Amino acid sequence: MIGFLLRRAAWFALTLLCVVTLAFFLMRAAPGGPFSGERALAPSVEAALRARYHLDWPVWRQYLAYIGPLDWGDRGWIAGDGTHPFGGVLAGDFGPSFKYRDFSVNDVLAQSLPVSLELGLLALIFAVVLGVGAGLLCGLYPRGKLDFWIRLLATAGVAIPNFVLASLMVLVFVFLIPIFPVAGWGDFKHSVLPALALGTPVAAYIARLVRAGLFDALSQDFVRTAIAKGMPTRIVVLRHALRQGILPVVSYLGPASAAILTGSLVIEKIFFIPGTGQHFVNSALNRDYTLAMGVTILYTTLVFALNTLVDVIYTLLDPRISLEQA
Amino acid sequence: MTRAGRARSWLWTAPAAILVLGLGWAAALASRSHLPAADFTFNNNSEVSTLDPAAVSSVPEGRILRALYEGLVIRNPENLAILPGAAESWETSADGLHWSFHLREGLVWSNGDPLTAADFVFSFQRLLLPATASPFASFLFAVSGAEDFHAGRGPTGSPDWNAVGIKAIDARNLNIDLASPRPYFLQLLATTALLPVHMQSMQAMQQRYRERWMSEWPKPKNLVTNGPFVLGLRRINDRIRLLRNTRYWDAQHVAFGTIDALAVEHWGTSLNMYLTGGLDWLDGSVPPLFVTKMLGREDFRPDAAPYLGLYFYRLNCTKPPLDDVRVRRALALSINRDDVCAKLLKAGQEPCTSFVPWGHIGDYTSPRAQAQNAGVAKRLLAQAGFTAQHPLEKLSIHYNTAESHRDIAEVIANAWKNTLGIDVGFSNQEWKVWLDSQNKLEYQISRSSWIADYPDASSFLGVFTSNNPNNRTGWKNATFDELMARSERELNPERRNQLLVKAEQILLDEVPAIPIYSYVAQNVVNPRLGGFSNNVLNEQNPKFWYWKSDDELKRERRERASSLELVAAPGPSAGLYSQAVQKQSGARRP
Repeated sequence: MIGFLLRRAAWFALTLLCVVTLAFFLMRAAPGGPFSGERALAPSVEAALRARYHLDWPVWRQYLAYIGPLDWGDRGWIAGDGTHPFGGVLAGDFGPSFKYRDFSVNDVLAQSLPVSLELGLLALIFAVVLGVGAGLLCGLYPRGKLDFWIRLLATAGVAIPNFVLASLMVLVFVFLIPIFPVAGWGDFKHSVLPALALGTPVAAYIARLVRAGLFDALSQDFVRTAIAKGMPTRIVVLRHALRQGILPVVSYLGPASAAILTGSLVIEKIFFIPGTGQHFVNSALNRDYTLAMGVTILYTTLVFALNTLVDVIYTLLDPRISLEQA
Repeated sequence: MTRAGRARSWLWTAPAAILVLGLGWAAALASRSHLPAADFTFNNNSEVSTLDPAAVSSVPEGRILRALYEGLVIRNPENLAILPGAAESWETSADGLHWSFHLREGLVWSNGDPLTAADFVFSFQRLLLPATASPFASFLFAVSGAEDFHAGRGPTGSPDWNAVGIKAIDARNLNIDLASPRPYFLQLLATTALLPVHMQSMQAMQQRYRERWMSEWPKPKNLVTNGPFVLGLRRINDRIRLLRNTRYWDAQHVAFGTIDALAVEHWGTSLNMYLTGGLDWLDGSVPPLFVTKMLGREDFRPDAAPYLGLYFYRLNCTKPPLDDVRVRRALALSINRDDVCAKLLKAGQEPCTSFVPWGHIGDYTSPRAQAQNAGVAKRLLAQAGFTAQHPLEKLSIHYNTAESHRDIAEVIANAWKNTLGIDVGFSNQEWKVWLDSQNKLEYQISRSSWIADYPDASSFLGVFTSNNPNNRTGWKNATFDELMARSERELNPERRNQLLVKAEQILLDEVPAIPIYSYVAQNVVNPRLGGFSNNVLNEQNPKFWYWKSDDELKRERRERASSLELVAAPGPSAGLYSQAVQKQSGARRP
């Protein structure tokens, strides 16, 4: 196990370096810059701003300083008196944000990530409970009416975009039956609609995976043997088939959790939630170089961590899989 | 453990995992701080970029800065006339060059420090320092020695602050000497760029946090301000909470104890929040589909709110065929502005043929432009050498990706096709790419807009001077530059207007850009809100806001006597008046 984790960590470092390098140079290659706006800046002012954030350096030098090995020199992160040595990304310092100029990237993430995590957790709980539950019902009563309706709803849930779902929910639960606030972030009641909108497509996908996994398991020899021995279907499904049938869900949940926990631009816009999701898109649109790098690193780390967790859970669920062979 | 035992125990792991997740979520929910509702909540449309007055000032920043700080003078929201701010009075010499400002007695910052003339000197110096990199340093270039100081020059070669005409005589008296008179100098002083910042706290933050000071200084616990409100809370992309500044000189007349400025970007959400009582004011963010639905309500009156904003098309004057003035005039003469306003925009925007929106600002009136005329347009195009045998090759309208811009471009392209027979294509680009192409003159015809910094014609006409970085058309005209420069120095309003009219006439003849329509302010505002007025900058000052009493609201509705649809505006019976607001009732009108 420890050997596995160490190998994973080495791969992670390598992947992260590649992602960071690629993202850094792609960001800089995009036309326009963080300071362009409808009101053009005087050339001297723009030069001073670029100098303040070291954008006047050659890109390779900015890159090295961003990563860490090269010092920002006497000017520091932002031109000041520069006595504070710069740590760089390696020291967990993501630098100042260009768009939210009163905040560092660390501040922006520290404020928005807890919101997204909280909302994402609620959405995940909802998705797993509903998805696994619905999939199980299909497995218990295969090819019946219930199975048909669940399959239909699950297909719809996967196909309908979440902004349509969100708008419909606002229409129904805010204007027709006024039980939830229209938008905002504050109390529990603010979290319900966005969590449902965020979790529904995942729930639908999970339901389909569980159903397919169960059907697959039910046709296998060990299950047929169990049934032939007179074991009730309920017990067979819950105790034997589900254990195998849930494996695809576990591997799906790794990347899905990373996506859900980091928020969604659309849901955050419609429900006015100060989460992380919008930064993934807006930081690139704003040419907020440092924030874009920050969310890229965050997401890469989360995906890697959750995938590793999935692999560990796999061995617990399926004794045929061993980490050492992985 | 046996295999069966393992299998059975496994069944418990899923509910257990859910339970753990649930507990984690519950802990997060419990740790969330609960905010009581504010006395007043409005939509500020987006997250402000910074609270540093020198750094940036688009509309959302302006609303917050005017609540947090107070400059020497402020503007009356009813008519934008200058009112005393931190300065209670001022004098100017007959030649308009020497200004003396007298600060109110006993002014203090929100931390209790006395506010003196030296604070204004520090703030203006900071604005001018090249290291501050302020886009608004030029607002002070009228001050003697200021432009040289900003450029790093001075009488002795190196920049010398003593050579700049901004001097604190004593704690309450500030002198400003101008190199040349500026007729709109007081209006400049009322802009957010010239708000004072607190020297001691800024320097203390620089000492303490070194190069990180810029993200520490504006934190609620650190920010020291002098306006009617102080910064109570700031959550990125959520809200800024403003609290009444008890140390403000006029605090007893500030009605609202707390104001929330929300950063709702989605227009539909913003309107939904207003309609369900979550917002009391939103501005400029009514989804186009809802404009006609909202018109006729007493809380949405864009038709009564002309706004100093101009939607226009820049023409690239450096490349054929648009380097030929006859082609540019032909295009301008064949635009159907009425269709754009009446069929697309619908909120009361006016077709505009002048470079000053609405054709006038204050006592300035734009010269009359030639009206839409297909015959003249065709003749001009023929004179430029484009006939049926040699048609003008395809033109392209360049805009930043947004449905509204596309719709307008299609209407105009259609008019050019029908009148002049020109095929017009479209190129849409993402915002920053679009800006980049416009700056580099990599376009033929490019969608643009401009809003006034201060209510003066020069705020619009000045854009087209040769050295203005916002020109972005490649058009240059020495006579125009000269007229604009003279108008800057001319104190006699009549003679000044004549100069500006001549300058604008050159723009109308040369057509470096085609004006299309004038903006309206699209405020959706609770009828209960007092101290709020439509003005051409749509500039509000929260210090004047208050809730109207039932009587006042009734009287106003009676006096209006129009057929507007009344909307619910809950008053005291709905608990609208918090304890704090009631105590301060009778807020002062400007």
